[in-house]
Amino acid sequence: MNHLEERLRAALDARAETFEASPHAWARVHARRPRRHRGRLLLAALPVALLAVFVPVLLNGGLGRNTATDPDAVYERLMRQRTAVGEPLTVDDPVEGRPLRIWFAKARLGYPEVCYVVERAAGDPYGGCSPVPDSQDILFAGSSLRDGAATALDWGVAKNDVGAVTGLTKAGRKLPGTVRTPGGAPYRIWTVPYPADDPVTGVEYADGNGRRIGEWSRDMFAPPPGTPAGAPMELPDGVIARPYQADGTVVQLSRHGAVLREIRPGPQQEPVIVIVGHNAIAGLARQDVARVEILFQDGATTSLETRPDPWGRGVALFAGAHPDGEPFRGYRVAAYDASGKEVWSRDEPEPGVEEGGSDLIGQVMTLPGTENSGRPVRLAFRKSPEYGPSLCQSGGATPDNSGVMTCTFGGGKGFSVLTAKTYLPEPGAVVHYGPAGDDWEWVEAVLSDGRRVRAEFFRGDGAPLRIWHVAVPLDAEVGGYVMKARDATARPIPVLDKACGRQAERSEAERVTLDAGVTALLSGACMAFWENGEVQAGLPGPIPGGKLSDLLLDAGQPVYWADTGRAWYGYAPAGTAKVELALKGGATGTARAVPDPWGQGVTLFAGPKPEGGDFGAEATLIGYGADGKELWRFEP
Amino acid sequence: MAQPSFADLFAAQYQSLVRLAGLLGADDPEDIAQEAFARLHTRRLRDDGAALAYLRATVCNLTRNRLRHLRLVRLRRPDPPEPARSSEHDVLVAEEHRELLAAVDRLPRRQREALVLRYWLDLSEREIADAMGVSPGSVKTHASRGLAALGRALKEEDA
Repeated sequence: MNHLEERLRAALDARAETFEASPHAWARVHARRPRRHRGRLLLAALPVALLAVFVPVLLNGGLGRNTATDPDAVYERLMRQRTAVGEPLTVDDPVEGRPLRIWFAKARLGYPEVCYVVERAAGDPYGGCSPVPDSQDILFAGSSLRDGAATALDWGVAKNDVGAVTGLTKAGRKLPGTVRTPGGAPYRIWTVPYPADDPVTGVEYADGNGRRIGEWSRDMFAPPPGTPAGAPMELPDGVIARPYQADGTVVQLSRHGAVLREIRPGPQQEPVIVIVGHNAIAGLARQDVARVEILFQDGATTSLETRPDPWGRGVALFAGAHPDGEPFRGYRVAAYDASGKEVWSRDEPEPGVEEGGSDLIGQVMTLPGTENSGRPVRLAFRKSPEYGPSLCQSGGATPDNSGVMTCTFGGGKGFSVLTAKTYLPEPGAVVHYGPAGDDWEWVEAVLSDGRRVRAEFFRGDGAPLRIWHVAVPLDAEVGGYVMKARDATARPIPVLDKACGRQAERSEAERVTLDAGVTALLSGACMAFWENGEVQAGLPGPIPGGKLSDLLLDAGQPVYWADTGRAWYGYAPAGTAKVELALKGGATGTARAVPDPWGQGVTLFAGPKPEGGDFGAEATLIGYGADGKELWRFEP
Repeated sequence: MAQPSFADLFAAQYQSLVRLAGLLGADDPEDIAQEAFARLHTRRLRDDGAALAYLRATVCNLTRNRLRHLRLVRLRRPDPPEPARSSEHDVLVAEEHRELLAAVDRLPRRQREALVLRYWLDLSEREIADAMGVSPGSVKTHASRGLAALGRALKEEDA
């Protein structure tokens, strides 16, 4: 390897280290399942990038310590800052031989949760609450599966149009489940009992007429980490710790079946690894740590005794209640030895846009429309010497992002969107917003029914750019935006969603067959494409109330296209019969175009990739009419 | 031996794929990596190796198309440079690498892919070809041209 190659390797290694993974990644992959509802497409943030994550890891299901042995006391403690929605449901827990109580609630910030209390045959009862994502048909919420049990029960939440759930077992069996709706509840509860020696690995679900909708894997709820390397250890409040062998030893912490976190003990680790979640606190400590204390910024404190691990791994474990279930505050964690001497401590600041604020430009702002949500969204511009000012946000009243700071780049030169969901005051809203160029006259959000809602603008003290913002009802779908700049025509901004192809797969509508094994389907705001039956990158669909051809009105944008393994494809203005592609380096390709069958005023095209063509470089596309005349040319 | 589960693959590869998307210039590397895993979740592949190859190819493809779309979405004004990276990079990437990485950013997309897959992921030509959807011969061409371009760029900077 020569010097340049060595430098390149070192430089790529250094840059790679700066791309961190969010602790919410697993949940976010989980949420990206295909949806059945046309038009309910995820809003893709446009040029949005994760700047940094300053968030404590969430617990999946947690709740807390319970000193009472009365399940009613557990219920009351859970509901101290929550509001019940509908009646509770009681199901038989085959492991404990006692009732399992399940109900829905609104969290303090208003988002929906499902809660439960487990009664134990031998031991204190415990319970917990988990957010119910609005994007999922099916959610695994709990499991009574335990070592040594003959039978077990998995349960979860189903949307109201799910009529049946079937458990899929490791051995390939299908086990019938039950779906019930507690009186007044916003969702349904499903349960699947199964023999512990043939556990459920996923569920298949159907609508009220028995028509199969889809299936979902249990792996997302409780990923198996490897081969068990020791017996499970029970900690307070239903937390179970167990070592597994997976490229070394990993200790998995779980609670009512849900994996909280896997920790790999090692010589490099800090003396205490603590997980602070919605309701519970758990973790691993060095062997000499006898007690772990968490002191939150507002003064709430919890003190947890450690227990030595029974597997001879040389660590201690602890678990207990979060004092009040507020997961996103800063805290100080301290470790004490048996004599009461503090042996280690660390401060974990509250996440926020002020974090490391030396590059802030202007004041920190509150996003209008979120002031009374219980956790307002805070905004600030930060310097980015290469790319101009970046608008950064933190906070928010949703469980999935309220600790994460995200930033959008472009400095008002492009159109970018961030969103903030609020549940309080009811009925809640979604605020769409982003940085605005100085010459922007107006921005409108276009709802899926074609209605438009105009945005307002504001500028914080010392801020380099204005911010546009518009609130739409919580249940409204935004299918695009329109932006008007001075001395320019109003410009439609389509919603661009990379996942739209997967979502369109559920549609039974007939796809258009193009050349090179490509098929296409317009599904809501998604122009989806497949190559040999496999979904590929989608292209922007029409703004609600508009047509695909509206997106091509700009003379500088006569075509939208993408490439995949063996083909290139896209859509172009009506009248186009052939599209030619010229790649840097000389390779060329040709694609036949056909009129779209949906009255969108465009043609669809696809062609085989030319051998040796460099699709990563700039390409020129030229559209020709049936008479061979050039109609348009696209040279980005 | 049992095949690793989806979760095993996620635990082992997620961070690496985020970094791959970032090195290829994705504006939101996590979004790309999450989408790749979501697509994998709906598929049944013959083995873990095939799953990993599928993930890498999906990350390359999504990043390439994403960057093309971003160019289209932006107004016809001077674009912010791609990739749109966080200001943290300015702090975290050592000064000694900045010049070389700036040259990497200016490479044609395929050359950049070939170099990242070869020099960061240490993939074989066959694996790189699978990820890029090209022949192994093309990989060799892209990589050698990319290296030559980097060499020229650094000499110009030094001049």
